Amino acid sequence: MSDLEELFRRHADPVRGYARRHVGPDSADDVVSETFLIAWRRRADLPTEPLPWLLVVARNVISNQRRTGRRADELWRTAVREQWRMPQGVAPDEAVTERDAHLSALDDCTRAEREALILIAWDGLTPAQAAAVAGCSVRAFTVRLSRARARMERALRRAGADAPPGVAHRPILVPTKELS
Amino acid sequence: MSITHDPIDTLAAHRPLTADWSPDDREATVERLLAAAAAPTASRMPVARPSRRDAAPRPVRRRFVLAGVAAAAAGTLVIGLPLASDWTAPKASAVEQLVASAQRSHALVIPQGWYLHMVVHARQHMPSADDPMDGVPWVEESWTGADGRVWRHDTQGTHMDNYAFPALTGGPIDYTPKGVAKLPTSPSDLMAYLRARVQGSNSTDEAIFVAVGDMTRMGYVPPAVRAALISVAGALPEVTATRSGGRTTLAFVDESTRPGSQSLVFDSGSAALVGEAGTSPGADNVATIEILGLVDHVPADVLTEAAAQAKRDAAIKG
Repeated sequence: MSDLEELFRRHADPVRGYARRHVGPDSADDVVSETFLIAWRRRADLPTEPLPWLLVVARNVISNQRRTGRRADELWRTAVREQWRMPQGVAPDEAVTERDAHLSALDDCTRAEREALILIAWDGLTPAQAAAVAGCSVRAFTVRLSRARARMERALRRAGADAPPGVAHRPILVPTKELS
Repeated sequence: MSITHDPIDTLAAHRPLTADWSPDDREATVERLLAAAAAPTASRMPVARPSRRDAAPRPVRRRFVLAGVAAAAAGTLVIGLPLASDWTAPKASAVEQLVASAQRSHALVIPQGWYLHMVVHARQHMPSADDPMDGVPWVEESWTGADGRVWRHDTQGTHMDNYAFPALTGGPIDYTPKGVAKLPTSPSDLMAYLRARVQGSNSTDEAIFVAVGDMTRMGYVPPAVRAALISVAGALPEVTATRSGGRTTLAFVDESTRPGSQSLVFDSGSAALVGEAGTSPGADNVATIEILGLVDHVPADVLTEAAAQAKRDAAIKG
């Protein structure tokens, strides 16, 4: 297997997941291909942990594809709804209700805040990595993330989608991989 | 009391295990990619399906690096500022004075066992947000150790968070005290150094400006490096410099890549970064930055809470 193919097989899924949220399924494969071709051309620049770097490249590739704000929101929402992993051992109607409550709560966030949440929760990036992908400073990103969580919590309370009693509230998972 | 799940925990619990990508489409994509990479004209061959337009990123701006390098080679730089047609006299004067202040400033060295204690007061306003927390100020109090480790205590209203960040040595730029002390002190060398390493913004120039803010914000950058960083920021064509009320503001504006502006506000006398501001269609934010001094310990409750948070996060992440 070539180095390029190995790079693709290790990281194509999250890159495609990212692309899927921004350009929809029709163009996502093109974004993935273009991203990895750019990575191949610039392989001397590839960092040891290439995923955040690849996502930045994907973001730049996507940035050239103009979309209206409404269209972008629709693409993002559809992608999250379709990729949402349903839990095992939960009645389907409950699982759908929980998913839709969270989608509605995400609607209360700004586009940048939603993306911040997903970069951390789904793509598994550290705040520093996610800030690079989002194109902002780490401090700005952590603020964005805190606000997103606060907004979601309020929306979920309004929707009556609170967690079962006994689950303690705890601070945001901001540092995750960076914590010592 | 209302008790809720953290939404991030819930989102993480529903993270897709695999992309919703059919094996056929995935294989077709990798085949197209490998064919494009192997083609003799790979540098120009669109890898996407023929019906799609090639979406390569914009070319990186290089003219100022070249201008700086050429000028340096010719020995024409007085304080290392690349010369360019849009380098206006007022801007040059404001930046040169700030650079001179930085060169005169005292080095802030964090001794072993001591911590640089800083506080940031910030506020963000989102005109379109229907959010009771909109405009509520938050405070970030931090303690940076000699090795670059950072503990932080954030408060907004009644909400508090505690973090422990390891030294930022793993990326393309070493942000630790030891790392920034090794940065080039020649503006043209530093510009080239940053240009080769920064990433993650809408343009390379913007990323350089952000990196200058990230470094000067930390408070412990040596005077010569601080001076070079200010020169680098001032040399960016998208940056304007203004002086008012004992402050020098460097503002980055590039409407072609991002609406709005980002500003770094320096004390004109000490060249310390004392504030930041940003404007965009969706939000405006301002922050003040204050170095409180060197202290010999991090508060016990911050250490305890940050450690407890780390354990909880590790357990959740598995």
